[in-house]
Formats: sequence, structure tokens, C-alpha cells
Amino acid sequence: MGVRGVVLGVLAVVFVVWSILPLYYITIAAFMWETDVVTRPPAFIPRSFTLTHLLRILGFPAPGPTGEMLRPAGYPVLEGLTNSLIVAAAVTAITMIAAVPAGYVLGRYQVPRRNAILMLIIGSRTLPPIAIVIPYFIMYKTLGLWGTHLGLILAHLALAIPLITWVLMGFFATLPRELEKQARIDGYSRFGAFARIVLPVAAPGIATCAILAFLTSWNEFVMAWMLATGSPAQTLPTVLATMFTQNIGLPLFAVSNFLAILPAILVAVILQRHITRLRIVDPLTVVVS
Amino acid sequence: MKEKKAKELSETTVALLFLIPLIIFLFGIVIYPIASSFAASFSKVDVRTYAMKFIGLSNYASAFGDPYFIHSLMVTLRFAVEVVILTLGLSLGMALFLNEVIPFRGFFRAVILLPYALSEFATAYAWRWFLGSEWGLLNGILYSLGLIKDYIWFIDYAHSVDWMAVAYSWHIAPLCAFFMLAGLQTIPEDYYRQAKIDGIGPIGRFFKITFPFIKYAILITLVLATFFSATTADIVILMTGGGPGISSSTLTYYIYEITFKSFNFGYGAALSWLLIVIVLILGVTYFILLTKRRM
Repeated sequence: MGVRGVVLGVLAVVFVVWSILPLYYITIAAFMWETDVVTRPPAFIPRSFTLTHLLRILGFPAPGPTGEMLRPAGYPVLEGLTNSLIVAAAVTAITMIAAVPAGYVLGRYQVPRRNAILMLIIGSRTLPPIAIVIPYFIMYKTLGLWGTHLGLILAHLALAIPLITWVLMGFFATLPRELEKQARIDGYSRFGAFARIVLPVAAPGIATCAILAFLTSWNEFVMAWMLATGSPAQTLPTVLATMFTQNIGLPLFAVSNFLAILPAILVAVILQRHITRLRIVDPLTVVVS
Repeated sequence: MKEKKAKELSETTVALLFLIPLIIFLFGIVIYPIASSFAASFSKVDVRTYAMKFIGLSNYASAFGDPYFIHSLMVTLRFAVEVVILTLGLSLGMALFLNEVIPFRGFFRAVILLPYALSEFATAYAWRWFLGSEWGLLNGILYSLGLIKDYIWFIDYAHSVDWMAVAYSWHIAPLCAFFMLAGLQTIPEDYYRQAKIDGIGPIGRFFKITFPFIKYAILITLVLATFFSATTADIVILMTGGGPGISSSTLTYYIYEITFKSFNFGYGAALSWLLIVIVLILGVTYFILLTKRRM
């Protein structure tokens, strides 16, 4: 062990507690009866277990603590989930169509006016969502795109495309130069070299970027809040935020919070493997000019 | 035949073809909207018809006479400074920890990354719940340890910005930690061995060997943390709602309020352009830092 072991052990505990503690109580409270949640001091270890809150929030009746059936919570959580999925899937697909080819040539080709294009991408990337949402709101109200899936998809693309192009550019730049050279010797055209040789090699990085694009849309709040609240196209964060402004009771509050954090737990597990190996979020690897 | 024709395309032609979708999208969904918001910032926008009437610079003029705007700038500044300090300390600690050879490395990486994988939305609610004055876990822990006699109202007028900064740093520090980790992993092991032979202590080793390799990542963290805290609206809207009172009303929150609660679109657009100018300066700094590194 020694001093090093003790220091590392302490750090391990500190960082794990720091990262998990704010989420821990939401998670256990989501599956306990209300009487076990509202106690002082709180239950540090779960005292009961029930799926009632989860079922009710998803729109099903479920038995209460004394066995009587409780009505569904009556919030459009399932619709929100479906909308979030539709919007995020479309944003992912369109983002990859625009960002993969662009990231490829920006990362590996001599491109005329490269710096101007890079400035355009960084400029777009740095725009605060709250600033972009104002013109979108005015446009959508006049064009009839307010509260539609298409409207939300376009707005989220404004966030996702610059980000993913930037990350992919850095990623493509790290692949070995010999890939295309060899492909050209083997008789592939420039396009063939890209499609048949580079793309398969780059597949894991592209897949990780697709997850990032999906998350950009899935996690987005302020645009969805201004462009779709209360409409049939509203996404999950919007539905949850609306619920939280009403008094829904602690267990329902906890379980909907839990729904909001659930995808992130899966993603953290998937991404941690790629994030250093592919240097996927490391813009430092981008070769500028 | 087709294959042959494709071969004749020059590198430049292929590059331009591949860039077409990106350029179309950037102009359609970023440049055009933001240009129309520039027009709105010089106009009075009708609440019902959204028709714009040109009124010159008066939106901008009223910003500088608006005490709430000045207040929101000061709140943003305080928030950004706190986030930068906290994020720097946290991410450095995390990176140094993850760079060590430890058992269960994958597990620790996933757990430390978790807060960043969470949305700002989830971050805001997780911390609201954690800091809650009724049934919050932090209160519960302090109470059980006998450190407090009664539950505390953490997010009060004096400290709402500080708690928001803690929550936000919790969210973004893992990202910066992974930048620093990338820097740490390029340090040759021999350097440390040689330093130990030369009798240099751990603190000396950090400043003589480690620091030069992560100097750049630290710089990026500074810029990114400033940039993120200047542009985030989600965390303010959802965690404190700018309150209590206007104690945590950042510039982004003030823009949100002016635009979508008072429906003063012209003034909101003008304020958002002032924010864009601030952010563009940060963005250009970032770009220059990236370019410099290659020289």
C-alpha cells in the first residue's frame, strides 16, 4: 500500500461519492413509498421497493401502498419520450449526412478557404442556444413551424452539425495518411477510397459521433422549451419541466427525474471506452492550418 | 466507366462536393436565423404579427441604461469566475487520479464521466433535489452528523450563484479532465524516473514535468469553462429560475425573461447580440490558442 495507495484510495472514494451522491437519492426515492421518502433524516438505504411510481408516470394504473389501485399520473411522458426519440433520430441521421463528408475533407484534404470554413464552424458552434432560439421563435410563429417535429429537428441541427463536424474533422485527421495512398494504388477513385477504405476504418469513431449527435438533441432543453412546449411535438425534457412547475408530489417527481438521468448512465458506460482511445472529444488533435 | 470518370475529379472538386451539405445547412439554419435576429435587434417586433419596425439603435441604447442588464452581467461574471476555479481544480484532480495505474480503471472512468454524460437539465434537477430544503440529501447528511440543528435553505439570495456554479462545475469538469488526461498520457515515464533519481520531490515533479505537458489543456479548460458558463441558460432556468429574487439572473436568463416572459423580442435580440459579441471574443481566443500550438 504505502502513502501512494492511501492517497489514491481516498481520491477514489472522494470522486465516486462526488459524482454519484447528487444522483443517488433521486434514484432510491423513485422506488420507495412516499412515507419512506419524506423523513428526517432521510433513508440513506432504501426502506421499501415499488414500481408503482414508474408505472403511473408512464401512464398505467398501479397499486398504492395499501393495495388500492391508483390512477395513471396523467402527464404525457410517453408522448414526450416518443417525440424525443423521433427528433433525436432524425437529427442524428441528417447530422451524419452533412458532417461525415465535410469532416473527412476538412481533416484530410487541401481545401480552398479552409480557415474561413473553420471560422464559420467555430462561429456557429459558439452561438449560445438562447441567442439562436429568438429568431427561430419568430420565424416558426410566422411560418407555422412552431410546435412541429420538423421545426425542432431544424433547430437542433443548428447545434449538432457544427459540433459533430468539428469533432469528426479532428478524428479523421488522426487516421494514418497511408490509407488513401494505398487505396489509390489499388485503383480506387477518391470517392471509392473514402467509401470503401476510410469509412470502414473510421466506423467506431463515426458511431461514437452519432451517439454524441443523438445526445445533443436528446438533452437539449431551452430550444424545445421555447419552440414546442404544450404542443403535440414536445420532447421529454419539456414535458418533465412542465410537470415540475405543478405540484406532482415527491415520488412522481423523483421517478421522472430518474427517467431523465437513465440514458446518461448507459452513455457514460459506452463512451468512456471510446473517449480516450479515439480522442473523440479532444479538439487538440485537430490540425489547424 | 463510372469509376473512371470519378477518378478524374481533382482533390479540390471532391472537397467542394463533400462540403456542399454542410455549407447549405450552416447558411440555412445558422447564418440566416442569426442574421434575422440582427435585424430584429434594431427593430420593435409586434407581439401578435411579428412584424418588425425599424427603430435604429434604441434597443442597444436602452441596454446600457438598464440596471437589470448590468446586474445580469455581474452575476454572469461571478458565475463564470467560480465555475472556472472549481472546474480547474476538479478536472486537474480527476485527470491526475485517472492517469495513475489503478485497478478497476474502466469503472472509475465511467463514474467520473457520468456527470458530463448527464444533460444540464438532469444536472439542474439532481442538484435541486440534493440541496432541497425540505427533504434534501445534503441537509439529511449534515443533520445526521449533528452539524446542523435544523434544515438549511441552501439556495438563498446570497448563495444561489455559488450553488449553481458548484452544480455546473460538477457537470463540465469531467470533460476538461479528459482533455488534461490526454496531455498527461503523452508524458514519457522516464522523465519521472530521472527526476526521482535527481531527488526532486512530488511538488517539484508536478511543476517541472507534469505542468508543461498539461499547460495547454489548462488553457483550453479556462476558455471552455468561461465560454460554457457565459452561454448556459438551462441550468439557470431549471435550477434557480434566476432567483431568489434576481440573485442568480445571468445574462442568458435575463435574455430569456425579456424575450419569452415580457415578449420584448427586439430588446431580447439586442441583448443576445451583446452576448454573441462576448462569446465570439472567447471563440476567437480559442481559435488563436489552437493555431498557436502548431507553431
